[in-house]
Amino acid sequence: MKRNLRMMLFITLLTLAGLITACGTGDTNNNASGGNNPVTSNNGASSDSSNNDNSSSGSQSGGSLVYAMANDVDGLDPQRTVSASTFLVTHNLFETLISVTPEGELVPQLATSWEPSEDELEWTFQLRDDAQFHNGHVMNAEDVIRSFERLRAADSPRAGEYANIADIRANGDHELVFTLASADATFLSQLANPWSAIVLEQDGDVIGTGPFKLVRYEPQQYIDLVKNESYYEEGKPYLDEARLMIIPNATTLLANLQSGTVHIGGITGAQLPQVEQLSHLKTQGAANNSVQLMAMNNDREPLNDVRVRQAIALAVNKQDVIDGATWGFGTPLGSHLPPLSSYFVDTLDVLPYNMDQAKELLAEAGYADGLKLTLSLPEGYDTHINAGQIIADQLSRVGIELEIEIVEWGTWLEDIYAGRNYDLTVISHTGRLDPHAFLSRYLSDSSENYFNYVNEEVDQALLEAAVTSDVQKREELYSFIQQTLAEEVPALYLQSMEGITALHESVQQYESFPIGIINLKDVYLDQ
Amino acid sequence: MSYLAQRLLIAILLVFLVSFASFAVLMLLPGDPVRLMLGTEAPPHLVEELRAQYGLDRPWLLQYADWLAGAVSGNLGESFIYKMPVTQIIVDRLPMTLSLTIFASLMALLIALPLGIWAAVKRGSWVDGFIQAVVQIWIAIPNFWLGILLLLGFTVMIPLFPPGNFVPISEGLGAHLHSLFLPALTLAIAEAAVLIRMFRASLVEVLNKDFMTFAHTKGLPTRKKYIRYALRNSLIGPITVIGLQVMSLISGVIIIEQIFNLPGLGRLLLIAVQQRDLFLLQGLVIFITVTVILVNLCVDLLYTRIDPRIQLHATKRRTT
Repeated sequence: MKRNLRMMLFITLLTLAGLITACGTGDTNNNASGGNNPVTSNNGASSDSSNNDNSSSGSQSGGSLVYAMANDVDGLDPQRTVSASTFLVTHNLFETLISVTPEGELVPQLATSWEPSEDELEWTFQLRDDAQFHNGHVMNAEDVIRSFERLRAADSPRAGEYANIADIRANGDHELVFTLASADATFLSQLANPWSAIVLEQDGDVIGTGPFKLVRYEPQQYIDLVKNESYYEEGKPYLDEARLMIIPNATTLLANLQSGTVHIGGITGAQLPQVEQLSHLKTQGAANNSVQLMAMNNDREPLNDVRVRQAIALAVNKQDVIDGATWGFGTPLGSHLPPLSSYFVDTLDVLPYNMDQAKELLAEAGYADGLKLTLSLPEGYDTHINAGQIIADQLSRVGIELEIEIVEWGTWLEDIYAGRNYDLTVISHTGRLDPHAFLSRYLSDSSENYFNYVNEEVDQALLEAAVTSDVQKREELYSFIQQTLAEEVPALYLQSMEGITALHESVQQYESFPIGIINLKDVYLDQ
Repeated sequence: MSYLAQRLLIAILLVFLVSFASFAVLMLLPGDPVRLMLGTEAPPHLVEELRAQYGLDRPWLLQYADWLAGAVSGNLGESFIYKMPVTQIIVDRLPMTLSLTIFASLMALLIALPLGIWAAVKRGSWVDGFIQAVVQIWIAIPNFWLGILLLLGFTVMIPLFPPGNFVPISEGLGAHLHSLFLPALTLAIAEAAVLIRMFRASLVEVLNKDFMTFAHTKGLPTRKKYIRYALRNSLIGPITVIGLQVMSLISGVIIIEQIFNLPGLGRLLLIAVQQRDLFLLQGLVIFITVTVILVNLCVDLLYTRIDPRIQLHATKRRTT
């Protein structure tokens, strides 16, 4: 009796809670621009923003923006840190010679143009003459050389990635010549990676030429940025200040978005219906250059039989996975390159959804009575867990039973990724700009080849494509690789996911980038 | 050897054992801090490079010995993720968590004391029944759920409090407490529930004692009767519980700080575990162990002040 009463009270409370949250969507916008904005002007210099409209497209200068990020940075030196969240931030403080557009194209940044020699071993860069470091020093070729020397120094974790650069020399103040040891098709996109940032050492710290300056970093809480008044692009950045708030909890982020204390934050598909009901928020999806896949251990029985892997691919309806796991925000894939890549070929029709054919292949391989496998899913990654559960359900219809085990992330990295001790697992890979970064893990002897996939032809094609800069030749090679992966299914390729961003209605010109950065210099607030 | 000296010696031994155990567990657990930092897109050479840089490629007993040697001289090592001395990180985060736990404890006491006394005095009546029911609910509510509920309720629907924007004490006590009110309340509810029960139970027990009947027949005024005789005699139980509650507060803080986005030790601990930040985690474990030991020692010493009949001896184990 007493137990029942307790249950009932609890249920009543739960229902009440549901009611409370359901009612709370209507009138939240009156405090959207309320008084508790955490970024305060630190000096009186910022003028009233309303009559400051000096740029062409109606962009307004001024204002403070709060951007929510899920993870803390591991430092603010782009050349010495490794975590993805760091580059999100440093891209606004530091700049690279070459930049990238939201579509993944390489465009000039600190370099205005570049020209390769005939044999593509020498690259001549023209540099901007009006870029200033945050201490007022105008950037010259020597600074860039020092910056690259620092990146290639013994204590740099990235030294190996730039080992192919044999020499860098200045040709006057604003011309630079890189000499490569061997031709390298990935060279230019390497220069666009956020850790290739041009830095200036100052008092044991580094400063950059970026549109914002660092004001304060409070670990686990926020990073405050302020406008770089002497930035070389006319009128930019528009914002006076930006605060990057670290909010790991999705519910907390939603509350902050709802109350208007945060302007921009990434949300999950599950939160989308709630956000869409709020009139002061808008959402935007953007391809994030990722490949979600179900990796298979090609070394293990029965997955070492290509027919079994093909049967698995045939038995999974990818659109169902996308609808169920990412609320339809994604593009189905047949191979390991996202559509954003310029080398992408559509391989969806190689093994289209076909349950009968899947059953036939299984029978042919000797598993007419079905088989059992373990599917390990990384804890905390709901997208992958949901996808895994949908796949398990679909495979059960052709007689493949999956036992699902949820693995803590640290364990996943150690046992499954590095240790290769698994049958099946769902994960996503985010690539860099160059297809080589995506595909080099299929090299038979790559330590990142956790599929245990071995194919000599693919090895050869990968190695050749990495050193060829003939675009047509590269296209042929990457097309062959994608086709082969689609046919041999070392992993079941699911989708290229889209990130969903919730924005306050006042935020304009915010764009998502394919290499895990945010670019605040183009953003302005409609006031 | 005095009682205090013996207790301190045991404490030191305990801290040493705990530090070894936590180091060993962390080493045996799968998960590599470098891998966690780099994720799945790490260039292979980078993993090796960083492992060597952090000294993670050496046998773990050797790593522990190094750490211990440093710890004895007060150097708890450097955090992998923050690249700062562990002691400094802990000292930086401590005030926030301390504020939160003290605030929550006071709040719990303020809620529990009157309700507990009221329930005891009116024992058997509908008031008592109602309070007991409330206590049941409060104990049953998981604090992560209550936290989310309060967060959505009082920052979004009725915006009385800022959502997860911590204001340090240096920016004013009022604003500081304001920013900590909801998390403190979340923690306080569960704690208050336990305390109400304790207060009620021990007060009821005392009220049934012969000396209370005697006081009553002697015609002592109600207030004197309850406060001077009943309350004082019923405080020992609850004080033990307060000591134990420190531990449950610490575990509560880990969850609450995550929900309310508070930059305290609880969140730090979670980050340290998730990222396998060896030295940071070691430092936090040591710090928490020492705190728990000290609180328990203080509680034991407090008994003698409240109840002079309890004597603390070095040889005899206390019984409560």
